[in-house]
Amino acid sequence: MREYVFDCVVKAIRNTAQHAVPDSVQRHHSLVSDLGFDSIGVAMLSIGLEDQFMFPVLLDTWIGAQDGPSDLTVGSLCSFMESVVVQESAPLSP
Amino acid sequence: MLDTPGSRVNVFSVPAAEELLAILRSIDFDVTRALVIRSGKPRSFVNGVGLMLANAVKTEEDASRLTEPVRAAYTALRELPIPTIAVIEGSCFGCGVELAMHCRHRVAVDVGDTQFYMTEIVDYLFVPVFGATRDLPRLVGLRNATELLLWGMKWNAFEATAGGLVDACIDKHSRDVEIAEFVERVTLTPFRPTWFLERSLDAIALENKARIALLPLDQREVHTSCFELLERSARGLDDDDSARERERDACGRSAMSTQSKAAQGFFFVRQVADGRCRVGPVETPRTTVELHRVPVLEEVFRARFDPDIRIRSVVARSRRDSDACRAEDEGGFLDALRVSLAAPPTMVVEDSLASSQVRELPAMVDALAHVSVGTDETIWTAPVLVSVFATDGPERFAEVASREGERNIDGRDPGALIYSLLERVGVRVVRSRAETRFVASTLLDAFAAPLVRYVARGGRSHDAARALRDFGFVHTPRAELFGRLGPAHRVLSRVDDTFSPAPFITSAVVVSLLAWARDALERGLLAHPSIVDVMATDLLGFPVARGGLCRSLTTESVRAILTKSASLAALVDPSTLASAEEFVARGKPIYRS
Repeated sequence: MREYVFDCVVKAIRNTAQHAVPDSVQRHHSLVSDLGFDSIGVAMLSIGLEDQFMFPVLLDTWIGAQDGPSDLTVGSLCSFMESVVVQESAPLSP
Repeated sequence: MLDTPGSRVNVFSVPAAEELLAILRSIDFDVTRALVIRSGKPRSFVNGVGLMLANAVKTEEDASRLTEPVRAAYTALRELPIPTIAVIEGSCFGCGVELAMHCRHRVAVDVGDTQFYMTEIVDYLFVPVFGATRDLPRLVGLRNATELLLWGMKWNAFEATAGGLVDACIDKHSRDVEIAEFVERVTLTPFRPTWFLERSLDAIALENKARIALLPLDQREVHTSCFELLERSARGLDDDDSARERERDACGRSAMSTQSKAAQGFFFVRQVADGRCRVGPVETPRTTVELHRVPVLEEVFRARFDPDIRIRSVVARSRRDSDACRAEDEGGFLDALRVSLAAPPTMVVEDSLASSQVRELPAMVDALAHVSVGTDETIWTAPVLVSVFATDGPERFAEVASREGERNIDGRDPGALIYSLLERVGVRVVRSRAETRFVASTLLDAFAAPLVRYVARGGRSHDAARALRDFGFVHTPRAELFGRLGPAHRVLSRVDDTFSPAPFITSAVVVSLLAWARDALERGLLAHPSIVDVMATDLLGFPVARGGLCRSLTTESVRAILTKSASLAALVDPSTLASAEEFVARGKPIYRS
């Protein structure tokens, strides 16, 4: 699942980035300083993620869990999305 | 030149602050007479500092640490030994206003996009941190400062000039000449900071304290804290350093509150809704709008003059049905509610441009539009219905209803274009796929239904309003567009702590709104939960402190409502209750994070 989530996150980043994205997006890349995302860009990224994962997701919880904008890395976003996907895959309540 | 790369608006982020600081440090004062700050964006001066900073605040100290680069840049700008002039054209929000106030002089370009708006308290429930509480009362007086900062008043270029926030209002067509003249003038005149002298500070304080007492409980602290700072500045109680320190502390405390965090999250909800409604970049070049039977819409476009949007022709005909809608007293309100819910009034609108279409629409919608849009050469007809909801205030809310996949002869999505045009002239707007009734109308029904039942069973509307206010609902004039809700909502603006909160009414309203939201989403009337959230907040005043309607509707919260609220069945109909039970049984929240 880890690689699947990473691939989806990278696709979402490429589809919504307002700046040129490096050919190889790495987990350590910062969305703010390396990939040029600002607050509005992150909101648009959530739309890109929804298009990949097919369920609505908001990213303010993920942002709030970091110590600052510099910690908003691709890797931390992938970890966040992995946890969301696990919840999504959980069986329905009885 | 402010020009955030890759963004349609300017964001004064930490990198922008570092860049400004570097520029300021490199200035050769032997050859530089003045510094002029302008925007490279056509519609934005500065929209904000970026909520990622505020979102990262977890302790009071974080606010100070994280904002330090921006504060350093602002301070350096303020202390520059040459005249500094902010030329404001386009949206000037939050820290953009604060940036402008750190300049010695400000001029505003008189275009529709120029709007001054302090977002911090009104939208995000935290105290600003870049000097607004100190500078605003000095520039515009305590009364105006409270209206701007606490109560969400927006100023255009003319109003900002009249209010003292800017020194001059200049014409778009002669802006370069006028700016040059202004710069020439200020470089030849010694700068003397002015203080707004105001009498009756005690009266203003009393008025504001009374208004704060009417707010939901969890919003009073941040308003009180902010007002105290404004008042201290107006009375000249603090030196600059003390004022800065107090403001920083207040910001830190407020920005880490649960309510503020949820409200900050709502920023993302609003942006997602905008993205889902806009559906890709839509150019709105020089455009002619032709309106049919739309007095309110015409007024909207004319009120926010934009030289690139021209009204071509208007055939206006009011279809307003005001029977019993303007009743101010409680009895009248209840009668109106009962009448409207027992037999929802409808009217038939014939589409003069497509006579095969006959639509039923709510009678109390203020304006319906058949809109034709085009360039100089072509006018095409958009098969779009627009409902514009008039309010007592300057803000409007509109729902643009169009069919999925609809395209004009030039291949553009007409709904998206109308959406962009309305958004451009300052209307709060959403898009829907409504075909028989506007979704906003059904939302208002969902909100009103439990209230009607409660009062019909002998409950007092003030008690219901007290419960709603305690939950966090705020009075919004936009809800007054429908006579059946107008007086009810006005009660919200007057209710005080002497009334007893009605039991279960908030639970019933929430369950009713949940059923409405699920229905609108499942039937595809609204494309995304974020649009649901924006409608609930903009039309009903659903509290941003709860992160929006859909965010607040977790499986656990709804299960708790269903378990604890024994009287719920009396206030909502069985299908509404069944929808809530199904939602709990499915076990999936609307948002997954």
